[in-house]
Amino acid sequence: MSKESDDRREVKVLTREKLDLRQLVKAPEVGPSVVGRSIVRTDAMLKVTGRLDFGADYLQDGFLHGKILRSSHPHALIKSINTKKAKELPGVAAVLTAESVPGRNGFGAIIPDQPVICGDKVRFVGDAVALVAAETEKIAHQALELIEVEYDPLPPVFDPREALKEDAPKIHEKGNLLSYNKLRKGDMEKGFAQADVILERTYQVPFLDHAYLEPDICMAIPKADGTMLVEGPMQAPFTVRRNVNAVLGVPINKVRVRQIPMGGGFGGKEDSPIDLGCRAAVLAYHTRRPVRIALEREEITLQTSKRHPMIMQIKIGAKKDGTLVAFEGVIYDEQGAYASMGPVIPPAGGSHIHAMVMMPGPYEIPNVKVDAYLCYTNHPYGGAMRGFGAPQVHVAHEQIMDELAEALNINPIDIRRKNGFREDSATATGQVLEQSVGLHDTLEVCTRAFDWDRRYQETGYVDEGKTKRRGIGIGLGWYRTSIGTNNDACGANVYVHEDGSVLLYTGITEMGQGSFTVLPQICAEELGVRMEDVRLVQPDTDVVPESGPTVGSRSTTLMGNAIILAARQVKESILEMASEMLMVPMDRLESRDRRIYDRDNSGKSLEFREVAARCMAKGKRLIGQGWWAPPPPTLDPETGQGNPYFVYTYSTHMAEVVVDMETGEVEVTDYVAAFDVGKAINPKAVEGQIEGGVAMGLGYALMEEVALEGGYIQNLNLKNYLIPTSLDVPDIEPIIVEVENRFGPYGAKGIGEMPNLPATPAILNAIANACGGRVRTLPADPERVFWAIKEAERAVR
Amino acid sequence: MKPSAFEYFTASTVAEAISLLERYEDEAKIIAGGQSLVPMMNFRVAQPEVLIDINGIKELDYIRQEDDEIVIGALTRERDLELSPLVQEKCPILAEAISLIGHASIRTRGTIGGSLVHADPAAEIPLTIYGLDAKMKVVGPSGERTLEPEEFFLSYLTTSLEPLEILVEVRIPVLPQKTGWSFVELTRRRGDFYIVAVASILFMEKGGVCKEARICLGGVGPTSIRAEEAEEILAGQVITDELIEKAGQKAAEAADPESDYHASAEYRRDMTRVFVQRGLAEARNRAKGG
Repeated sequence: MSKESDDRREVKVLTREKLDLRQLVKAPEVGPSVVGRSIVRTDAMLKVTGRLDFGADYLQDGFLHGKILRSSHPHALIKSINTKKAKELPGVAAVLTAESVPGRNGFGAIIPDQPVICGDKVRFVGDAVALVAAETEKIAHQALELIEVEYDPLPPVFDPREALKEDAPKIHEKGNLLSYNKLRKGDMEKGFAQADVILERTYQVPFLDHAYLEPDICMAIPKADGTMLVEGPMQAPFTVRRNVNAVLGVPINKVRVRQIPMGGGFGGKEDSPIDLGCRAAVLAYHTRRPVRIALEREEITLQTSKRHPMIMQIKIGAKKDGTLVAFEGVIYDEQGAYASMGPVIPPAGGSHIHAMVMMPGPYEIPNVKVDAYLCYTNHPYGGAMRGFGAPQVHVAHEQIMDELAEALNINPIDIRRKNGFREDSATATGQVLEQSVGLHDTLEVCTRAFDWDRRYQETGYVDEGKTKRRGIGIGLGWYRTSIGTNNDACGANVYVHEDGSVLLYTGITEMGQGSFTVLPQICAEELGVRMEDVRLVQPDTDVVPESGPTVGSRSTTLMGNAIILAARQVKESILEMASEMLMVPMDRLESRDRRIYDRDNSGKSLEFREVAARCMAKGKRLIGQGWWAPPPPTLDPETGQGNPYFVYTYSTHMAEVVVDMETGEVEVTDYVAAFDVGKAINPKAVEGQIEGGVAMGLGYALMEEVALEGGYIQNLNLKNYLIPTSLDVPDIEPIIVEVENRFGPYGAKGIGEMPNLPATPAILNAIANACGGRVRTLPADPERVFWAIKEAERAVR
Repeated sequence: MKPSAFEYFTASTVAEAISLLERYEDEAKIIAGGQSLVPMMNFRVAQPEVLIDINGIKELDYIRQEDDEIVIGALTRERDLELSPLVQEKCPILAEAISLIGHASIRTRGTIGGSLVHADPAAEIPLTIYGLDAKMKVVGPSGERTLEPEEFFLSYLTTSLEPLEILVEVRIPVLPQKTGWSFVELTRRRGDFYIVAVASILFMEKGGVCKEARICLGGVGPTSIRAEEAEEILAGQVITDELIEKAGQKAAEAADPESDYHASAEYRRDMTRVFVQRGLAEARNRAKGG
């Protein structure tokens, strides 16, 4: 065991059996196993020393530079395009318009409704009307300026509720309603009749940009054999391949997609590599030369997907003691110009239906009704962004729970204790949660660590001048592992070599979340070798089995299971061989830390590599392939009843803020977040996810917003699109709780997206607790908090 | 984006820099810390054909006291001023204001001269200089001249510097003992350009009477302004809470802010009041030695 590779800084890990609230800190057991240890990320040194090559660092020799001419209108017909002058510019290799697309002129993660190059009309200002490839980026820029486009502007639609009106301009031929979904449980009339208190509230959230650090880049390289190689940072190489092959009009095996190091994705690099991959490939197809498209920051903001804005209306009813009796919700979910990740993939895939399912929160409510409308508009399009429809509804359900608690004069933690999911609770979709429900464990641990009860008494002014008030807030959260479609399988290959070293092939990508560390950990554990014996092969669609996209917090759990199955095939072959060599029955053999030994007589052992070498010589299997799919999802399209996702991660966040009562400025001063992750394969990596997620949720609460005016984005770069810096984020105390998931590898379940969900409402609730005003339209920037305070003051008078 | 193509020269003396300016005239831009110029070039807001790098002119990097003045070379880094014991003692408002510029890495490169000639109405140094009777020494082919803030700053991003002139030195009078001062600002996020900033200076006489007040407002119009009517309320008075309240209201009336997606005009105006009141209260406490 190489000690250098262990990160031994303290991480709190609590298993349910050992859950002892008086002693929160428990060092992970240090044993011979690989799983459960905070192994330093495999990419850490390369990244912190700057030695890892990202796409922008790749040699550009021989490449043409691709550029995109975008629409100047949010909604218009294209009357004519004249590319003559641009084509004549020396150094220009190609200027392409819609008719140049060799295959299907459309791409999309779910529905191919977005043109590679728009021919007849444009639907938002990020739409492509022409593509250019030139010898230099500068010439490509000049060529864009020489293209003349005549538009016939159409009336635009910017509000999902307007889009639904009968006389609204149609953005797509089939109309503006992309999806209408409903959830029906119990009897609403009876439910509200039982209520002592009924509250109705509307919450609204804006478009958000992912603001990943690394600008998008894509390289398309035509090979002599007619294959198109597409390389770039991407979360879903197989989805990119599926689109590029259709756009080029060639079979799947004529497109090869390789993921290269990725500087952040957060869901955004699920969509944009499809867009850039198709466009770069079309340019490469026509010029027969390698083409690279590297987006500038402003182009990323203009062109790529965003987090969906939503208008969320809730009517909630409860008894005096806080028991929830009825929940009625309406979601106006703004899709923007193209379908992207919004629409439903039956039974429960796509961000829209996910939002609907999650809207009532992690609470047992007997009577629930949700109507969810997904509408096209002439804005940028909504795609996947860390939480996939769930961050929005968490903003709504966690705030209304606090508003309800206030109306009933109940402590916010008590109303959650009363209604929160437990084992065997039924969700709004009627799913009975049979296992791995650690919500209350996180609530109790967090309450203790944060010292909620004391702090709840100590809110109020913090300064002599009486300008600043302290407040605390809570946010509960739940999030699925998996994507809710019938197409959610992962494949992995494990290849052991004669010296005991291992190659691991998976299609799961690394975007900073740590998969390239956690997946080899699982592989090493299962084979009984060391972490450093496993090298993970960079995802390449020619080489690795189809793994689906790296989304839905599914990688560790689904791929982890596939790796275990693959590794077991090889291990079985190795143990068989070892059994022959040691003359010990196979079921007594153990493979651990590079040795295979007799459990009853540990003196009798072989080195793993000796056995592997013998297998090689004898022609015994050294390659394993594993496939794993979660239990199949169900969801009735009429009632929204069923088991959409097979397991959920639960958490509780608590935040302390100080609000300046005269200016509305908010400072988040303290933070505790507890998560039930089933099993932390790498506790330090889980901690990293929690801290990063909280920072992201803080940005959603306090400052992030794509500012739109007449369809045009006002804050195209990171000077004006504000994301939190280290100065805005408090110390975060993460606590890991382990309530085993019996479907997960070693009991694990997903953590990737989860941590930003409860953070936003926890901070919003703390603001309300501090200042008495509530911000229901995000972000809660100083001015919005200022007006909320004024409104609250007026209400008191 | 990337900047458009430019030629690059280095100068190691002021004379050398001026002769380069004479050669390229208004095609050339001086680069010192580059903390504003380089982003502007990357956005193509500025497209100089020639850059003259004056970072090698070591003779322009100094902070010293001469009689009753602090004398600062134009190439002095903001971080050095922020941490200078001399500035902290003799002109603490400048050190305080500078500490609020962007982030430490920006202040480590950014220079006082660069900030002044850039004349951004949302920048801390120009706003502070407005209240300080500072003198800017500029040098050109025909010699040197000295300008006061009112002469130096013309409007948004514009100074009275001639194309062939370079700012070489800033002279700031030492603040008398017991002078009250404060620099307060409101930002949407830490380290950002301010929405509203207020620099306040209270020159005191015996008996706790304010001889003269200076209130400089930033972010509420196209240039920094002095809230003169608010200043008059305080001059010759023992400063009470009531007077501070009144001065804040007067200052807010003087403000002429615009709305954008960061903040509405209405909010900016009210924040002018709040920050003038807070700034004056803090300045008064300092004047009392509190």
